Amino acid sequence: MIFNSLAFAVFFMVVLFVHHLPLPWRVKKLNLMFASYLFYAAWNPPFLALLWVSTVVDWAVAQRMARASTDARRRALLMISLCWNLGALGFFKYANFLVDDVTQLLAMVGVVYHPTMPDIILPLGISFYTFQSLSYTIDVYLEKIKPWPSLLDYALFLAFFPRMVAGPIMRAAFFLPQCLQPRPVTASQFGWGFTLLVLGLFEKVVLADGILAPVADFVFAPGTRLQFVDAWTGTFAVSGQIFFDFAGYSTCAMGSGLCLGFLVPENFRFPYAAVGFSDFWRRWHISFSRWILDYIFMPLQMKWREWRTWGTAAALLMTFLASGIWHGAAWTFVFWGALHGFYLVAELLYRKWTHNVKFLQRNWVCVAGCLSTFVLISIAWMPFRARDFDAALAMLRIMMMPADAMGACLLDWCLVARVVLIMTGTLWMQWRLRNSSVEMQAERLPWWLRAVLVAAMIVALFTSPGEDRAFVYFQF
Amino acid sequence: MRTWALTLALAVASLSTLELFWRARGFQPSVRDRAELWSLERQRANRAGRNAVVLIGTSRFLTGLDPAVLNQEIPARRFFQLAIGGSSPFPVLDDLAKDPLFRGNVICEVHPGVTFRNNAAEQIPRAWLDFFHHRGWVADTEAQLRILLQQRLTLELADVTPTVVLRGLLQEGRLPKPNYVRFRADRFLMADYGRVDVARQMAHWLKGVRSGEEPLTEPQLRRRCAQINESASRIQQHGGQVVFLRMVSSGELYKAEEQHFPRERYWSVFVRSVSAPAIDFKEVPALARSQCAEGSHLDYRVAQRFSQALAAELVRRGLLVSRR
Repeated sequence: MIFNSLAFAVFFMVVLFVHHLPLPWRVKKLNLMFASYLFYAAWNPPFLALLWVSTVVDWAVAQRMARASTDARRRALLMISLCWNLGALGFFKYANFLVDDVTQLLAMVGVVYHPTMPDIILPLGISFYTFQSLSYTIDVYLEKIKPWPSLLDYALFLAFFPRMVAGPIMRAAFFLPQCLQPRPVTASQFGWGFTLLVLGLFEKVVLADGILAPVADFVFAPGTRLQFVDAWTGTFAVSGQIFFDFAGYSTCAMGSGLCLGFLVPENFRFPYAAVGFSDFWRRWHISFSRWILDYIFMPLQMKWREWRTWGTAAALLMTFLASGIWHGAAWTFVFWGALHGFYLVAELLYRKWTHNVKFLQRNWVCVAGCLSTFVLISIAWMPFRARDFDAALAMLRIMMMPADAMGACLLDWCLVARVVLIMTGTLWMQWRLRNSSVEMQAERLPWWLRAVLVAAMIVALFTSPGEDRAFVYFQF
Repeated sequence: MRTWALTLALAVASLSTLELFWRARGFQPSVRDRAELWSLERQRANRAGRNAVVLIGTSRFLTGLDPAVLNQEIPARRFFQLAIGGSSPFPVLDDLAKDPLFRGNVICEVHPGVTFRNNAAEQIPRAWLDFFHHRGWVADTEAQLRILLQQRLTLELADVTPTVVLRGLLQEGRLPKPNYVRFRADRFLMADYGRVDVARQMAHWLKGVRSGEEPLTEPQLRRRCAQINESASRIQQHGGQVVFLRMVSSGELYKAEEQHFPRERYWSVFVRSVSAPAIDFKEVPALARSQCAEGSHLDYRVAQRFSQALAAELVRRGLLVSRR
C-alpha cells in the first residue's frame, strides 16, 4: 500500500477512527500494530514473518543483554543481533549481486562458471527496519538506553506503518517513550498532520511524478541520442524527482504519524540549499545520515584517530562506501557512495586549509557554494539513476563536452521550461528557508493564506491523476 | 479549525468549478484503461466460473462488442471485455488456456492484420498479464476505488490535467478538445465517430495495412494456427467453448485487407486448422450490415446493434448458450 493510493486513504480513515475511539491505550496500540502489519502485508504477506522474527530476536536479545553477567555474554548477544539483521539483509539484498559478481570475476580469470541464480525477492523496507532494529540492540549494548520491557511497544516501533517502508529510521529512544502514555491529539496537531500529508502527496504526485519523472524517464531511457540541453535537463529532473519523491514520503510519514499522536522525526531540511557536502548530509535523509554517523563513522574515526585528518578522511570514505552499498546491490550505487565520500574528503581538506579565510563567509560566495554543491550532487545522482556505468558515462560526456552535442534538443521546450522553473523555484525557496523549517514558515503565514495554499495543493492533487508510481526509496 | 474549513471550502469550490467547466466544454468521465482495470475484469472472469465469456481481441472488439448488451441478450452468461487496443489477443488466449482457475468460454478475434502477419504486438498483453499474476491483494480494491472516481469525474481525465492544458495553451493557443472515445467501467470503448475526421482515420488504417509487415508465409501460418488451436483445445478440454470471430471492417479498408490477406489463403486455412467454430462477419448478413465509419471500428451506436446481432447469431448456432 502506498500513500498516494485510494486504498491507503480508506485504510487511514479506518485506522484514525478506531484510534480516536475511547478505548484503553493498550487496545489503541494493538490497533496500530495490526494496522501496520496489514499495511505491510498489502505488498507481500509472507515477508511479515521476517519482520516478526526481527522483532522477537532483537527484543529478546536486548532483554537478555541487560541481565547478562559478563561482557563476553553481552558481546555474544550483540553478535546474535548483528548476525540476524545483517545476515537477513545480506541474503535478501545482496545474494544475487554476489553470485553475479563472483561469476564475472571468475570469467575474468578464465574460469567458466554458470551458477543457478537465486531468485530472491527483496522484502519491502528491510533496509530501513533492520537498521532501526540494529540501532536498538547496539544502544542497549552501549548502555545508552535500557531494554524496553514491552514487546508490544517494540513491535510497534519496528512496524509503525507511517514510516515502515522508507523511513525515517527512528531511534528507540525517540519512539518508545511515546508509547508509555496515551497521546491525545489536539485539533491543531490534527490539522498540521493533515497539512503535512497533503504537502507530502503534492510533492510526490504533482512535482515528482507529474512534472519531473516523465522528463527523467525520457532522458534515461535506453537508446535515446541525447543532446547537451537534454542531458542537463534530465540530470536536474532526476535531482528534483528523487528529492520530491523521498521528501514527499517522509512528509507523509510525519503527517500521518502526527494525526495518530506520534512524532516522526524530520528527515529533510532543505537539502539543496546546502553549502558543501557535509551540510548536504545534515539536511538530506537525516535519520540515515545520523545512523551512519553514529554507528559507522564515529567508531571508525575513533579507531583511526591517530592518523588525524587522514583517519577522518578514511572513515568518511568507508562510511559512504557502506552508504552506497546500503542503497542498492549494484556497483553504480557503490560508485555513488564513493563519489560522496570523495566529495566529503575534498571538503574536509579544503576546510582545513581555508578555515580562516573571511572571504568565504560572504553571501555571494555562499550562494555560489550552494549552486556548486547542487550541481555536483546532481551529477552524483546520475550513476544512482542510470541503468549502468556506460549509460552514466555517456551522459556525463555529453554534459561535459557541449561541442559534440549541440544539436537540436530532443525534449520539447515545454518540458525543459517545466524542469527549469521547478528546479529554480525549488533552489530559491530552499535557499530562502534554509535556516528554518516548514512548520516555522507555515506559522508565519496568515491563516487564510495557509488555507489557500493547502487548497491549491488539494486541487492540484485531484487534477493530476498521473501514473501510479511507487516511491523511489521503496526499492532500498 | 477555521483554516481547514476555508481550505475545504476553497478546494471543493475550485474542483466543482473545474468539473462544471470541463463538462460544459463537452468532456465526459471516462475510466482509464490500464493494467489495473484489465486485471479486475480478468479476475472477475475467473470468479464467474463456467458462465464467463471473455472477449479477447483488439480495439475492434473494444469498440464493437458491448458486454452490457451481450449480457442482456444472453442472460445465462456473463461477458467480460478483455480485448487490448493495438495488441495480439493470443498471449491472453494462451494464458487463459493455462490458467487452472479459468473455466469459462472465449470469443477470440481474428484480426487479419494481427493474426496473419508477423508482428510483435504482444508487449502490452504480456505486461498486463504479468501485472495480473503478480499484483498484491490490495490492487483490485484500489482499482475499484479509482473506477468509482473516474466514472464520475471529468477531472480524472488525462486530457485535462494542468500540465496537458498548459502545454496546449502555450503550444497551440487553445484548450483541449473532448476525446471521441471513452471507456466504461466494463471496458467497453464508446467511440463517437460523429466527432472525427473519418477520411483521415481511414487513410491512417489503410497505410497500416499496406505498409505493415509482410503477411505470413504458408508454413508460418500453419505454425501459428497450430499454436492457437493448442490453446483453444486446452480451453475446450476444461469444458469451455471457444469461438473465433472476424470483426467487421468496411469500405476501402476491407478491400485492402482482402487484397493483402486473401480469404482462401488465410481465413479459410485458419478455419480448417482450428477445432473451434469461426464466424466471419461477411457470412452473417445481420453482422455485415454494420458499417465502420472510418473503416476499422464501430461507432458506439452501431456497436449496440452489432452486439445484439452477434448474440442472435451465437444463439442461432447454439454457441455459448447452454449452461454446461
